[in-house]
Amino acid sequence: MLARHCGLDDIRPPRIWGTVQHGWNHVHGFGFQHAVIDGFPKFVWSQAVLRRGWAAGMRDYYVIGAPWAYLLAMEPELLAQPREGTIWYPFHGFEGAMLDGAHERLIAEIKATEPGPVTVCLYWMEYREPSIRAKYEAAGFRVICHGYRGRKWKGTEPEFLYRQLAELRRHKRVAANRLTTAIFYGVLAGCEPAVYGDPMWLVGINPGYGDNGRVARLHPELVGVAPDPAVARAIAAEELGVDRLAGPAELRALFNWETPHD
Amino acid sequence: MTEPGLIGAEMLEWSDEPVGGDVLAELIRHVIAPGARVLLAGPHATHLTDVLADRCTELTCVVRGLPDATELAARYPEHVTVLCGSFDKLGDVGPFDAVVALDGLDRLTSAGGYVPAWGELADRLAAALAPGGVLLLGLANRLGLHRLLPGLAAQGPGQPRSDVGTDAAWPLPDGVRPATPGQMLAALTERGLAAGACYGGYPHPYRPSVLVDITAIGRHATAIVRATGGARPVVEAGLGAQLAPAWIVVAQRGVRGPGWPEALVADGLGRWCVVYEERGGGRRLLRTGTGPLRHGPLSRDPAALAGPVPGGFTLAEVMVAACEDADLPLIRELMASYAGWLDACGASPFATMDNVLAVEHALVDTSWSWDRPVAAELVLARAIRRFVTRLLAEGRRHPWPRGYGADAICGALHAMAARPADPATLEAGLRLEAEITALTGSVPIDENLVHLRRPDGDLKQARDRAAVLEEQRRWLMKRLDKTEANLRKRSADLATTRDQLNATKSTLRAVRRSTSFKLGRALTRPFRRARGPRR
Repeated sequence: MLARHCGLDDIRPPRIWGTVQHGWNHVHGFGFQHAVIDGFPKFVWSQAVLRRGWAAGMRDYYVIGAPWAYLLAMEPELLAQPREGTIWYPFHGFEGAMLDGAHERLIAEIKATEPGPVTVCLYWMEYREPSIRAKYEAAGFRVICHGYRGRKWKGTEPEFLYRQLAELRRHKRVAANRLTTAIFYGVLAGCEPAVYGDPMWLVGINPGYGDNGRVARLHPELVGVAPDPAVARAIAAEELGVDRLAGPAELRALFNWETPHD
Repeated sequence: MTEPGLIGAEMLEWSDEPVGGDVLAELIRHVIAPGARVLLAGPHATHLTDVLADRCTELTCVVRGLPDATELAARYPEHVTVLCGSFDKLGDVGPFDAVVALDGLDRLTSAGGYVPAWGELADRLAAALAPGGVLLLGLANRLGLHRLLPGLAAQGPGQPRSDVGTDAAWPLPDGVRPATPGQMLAALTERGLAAGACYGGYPHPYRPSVLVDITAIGRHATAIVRATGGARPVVEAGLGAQLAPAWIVVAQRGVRGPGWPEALVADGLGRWCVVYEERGGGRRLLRTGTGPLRHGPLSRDPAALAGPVPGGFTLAEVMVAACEDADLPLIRELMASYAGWLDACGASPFATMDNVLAVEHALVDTSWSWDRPVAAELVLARAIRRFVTRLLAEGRRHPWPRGYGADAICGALHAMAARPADPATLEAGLRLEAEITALTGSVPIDENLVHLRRPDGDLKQARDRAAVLEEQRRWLMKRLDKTEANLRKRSADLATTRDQLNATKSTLRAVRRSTSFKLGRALTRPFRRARGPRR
C-alpha cells in the first residue's frame, strides 16, 4: 500500500528499513509476540500510539498514519455501492493464542441486535475450521474471510485490504465484540460502528497489555450497540493518523527506498 | 614606557582571555569623555584599550599576568602606565575621572597569599573615583543563559564542566558577590555611587554583542533572541534581566549622569560588524565602514540595517518548537510554504530559516548579498542544512528515530517540503553553507565542512551507531538461536528415525535367523527355482 502511494511496485514492494505498525491495539501498536527491535525505526499510525508506546518504554517511533488511511486517500470512490446490513468481525485469536468463548452465545446476541442482513467475517484460522464456520452459516449469516495472513512473507493475501474495503463499503454498519482494527477501518470507510457481545478474551495474554477492561476504558464512546458515528469518526481519524499521512517523497526518504540497504 | 611597573604578586607565566566586543567599545565611547584620566582594571581586549588610549590624557592599566602587562606596555609607549600584580597591592591611586572594570573583579586578584573579597575590591575601585567620576563595572552571571541554553558554549571562570582542568577554571575568589542586578546596584549605592544604567550583556558574559538596559528588555527582545538562540521563552517570561550572561553597570560618584543608550547591538563578526543603537523601535547606525562591505562574492550594505527593528518569530524558532513536539503536520506545512515562497521570490541565499519570519516570510536582515544568482532549490538545501546542523549540534529533540543522521534528516525535510533532493543537491547546499559561513565568520571552510558533516560530533554518532548495531546483533542472535533450536530439533528427529530404522532392521535380522523363517524358506525354495533365478 505504501509502495503504491510512493509510486513504486506494490506487488513486490521494496523492503522497509524499520517496522510498520500493522494493526490497532490499545498499547504501543505492536503484538505481544512481535519482537520489536529497539534500534530499528518504528513507523506507527498515530501520535496516540506514539504516546502510549513511549509510556510502555518504546522509542524511535515516527508517525506516518495507517496504510488503511493511505488506501482511502488513494481510492475515495473505489467499489462504492449502496450500503445494506452489518458486517460483523468476531474478535479473532491468532496463530499463537487460544480463544475462550462461546460462538453460540455471540450468534444469539447478533441475531437479537442487528436489524438487517449480517455478514460475518472470520479470521482465516476460524474460517478454515468447519465446525466454527458451520455455526455461523447455520444462523443464516453470510460467512466470508478477507484472506490468509501469510507466514514469513509467503502466501500473504496482497489484496487483503482491498477486499476488506470492498466489503466495508457495501455495509451500513460494522460491528465486533471488541474494539479492534476492523471497527476503526469500518468507521473511516463510512460505516456506523457497534461494539457489543461476549468479548472472547484471549487466554494467557501478556500482562503488559493490562486487564481485559482496558480497551473499553480507553474509548468508552465507541462501546455499545449504536455509538455516535461522528464521535467514532473523530476517534478513528485520530487513531489511524488520518491528518498525519506523509507524502510519497517523505516516505521514500524515511524508508530508505532511494538507496536500499542490503 | 616599555616596561610595566611591578606592584606585587605578579603572575609571571599567566595570561587572561580578555573581555571584549564592539558593543563594549561603543559603550566606552558613549560614557568616557575625551581627555579623561582613566583607571583600567583587569584584562581587556586591545580594541578596548585602543579606544581608551585614544581618548584619555592619562590611562593607568592594572593586570595580573606579566605577559599581558608587557604586551600593553609595548603597545602604548606614551601616556599609558601599565602596572602588573594583584589589585590589592596597588595602594591609593587616583583620583580618576573614570574607572573601567568590564571584566568584573574576579580576575583582579592574583596568586598572592591574600585574596580580597568582591566587596573590598569594589571599595577600592569606588575610592579611586573623582567626584562626578564614572565607573564601568561588569559582573558575569553564574546562572546566566550561556550556562542554561544548549549550544552556547562559554568560557571563563566558573564556566562549564568541559573547562575543568584548564587555566580558565582557576578558582574564583571566595566570599559573597552580587547575584542579581539589583544586588549589584545596591552594592554600588552603598559606596556612594548613583547608577546611570545597568545593561544585560548577551550572548556571552565576556564577549557580548548585545547590551540592553535591564529596564527595557522587552523592547529589545528581537536583538536578544537573535544573538542568543533559544532565549525567547526566557525573555517572554520576564527573566531576560535576571538570566543575562553578564551585567554591566554605568555608575557615577555623586550625581546621576546623562541618559545612556538603551540598547547597543554589534551585528556581524570581524570585518562585517555593524554597531547600532536601538531606540524607539528604530535603529541608529553608529560604526560602519564607508559604503558596502565586500569580500569575495559576499557583500553587506550596513544602510539596510537602519530603520525599524523587525519583530516576530523566525521560521527557525517555530521549526525548532515543531521538531521538539514532533509535530509532523506543522513541519510539513512550514516547509512547504517556505519552499513555495523561496520559489516565488527569487530567493536570496541569505533567506535561511533563521533569517526569515515564520508568518510573513520576510527577511529579517536584508543587508547581505551574494554576487552570483543561486537557484531556489540550492537556497533551500543550504537553509535545511544550516537548520539541521544547529538542531543536532544543540542536542535538541526531533522526531526522527535513532540512526537518522544529518543527511537523512536533511533528505526528510526536503521531502516534507515536497522538494525531494538528490545527494548532489544536498552536497551543494552543504558546500554553500560552509562557504558563506567561512566568509561571514572566522572559521575556515574546511573546519565548517567537518562540522556540517558531523554536527553532533563523532562520539554521539558513534554511540547511536553502536546502539543500532547492538540491537541488530541481538536480533540476529535471536534468529540464530531459533535456527539452532530448529537444527537441534531436526537432529533429534533424525536420531529418533535412525533408532527406529535400526530397531526395525534388527527385528528383521532376528526374523531371518529364526528357525521358522529358515523352514519357510526351505519349503518355498522349489517354487522360487521354478520362477528362474533371482535378479
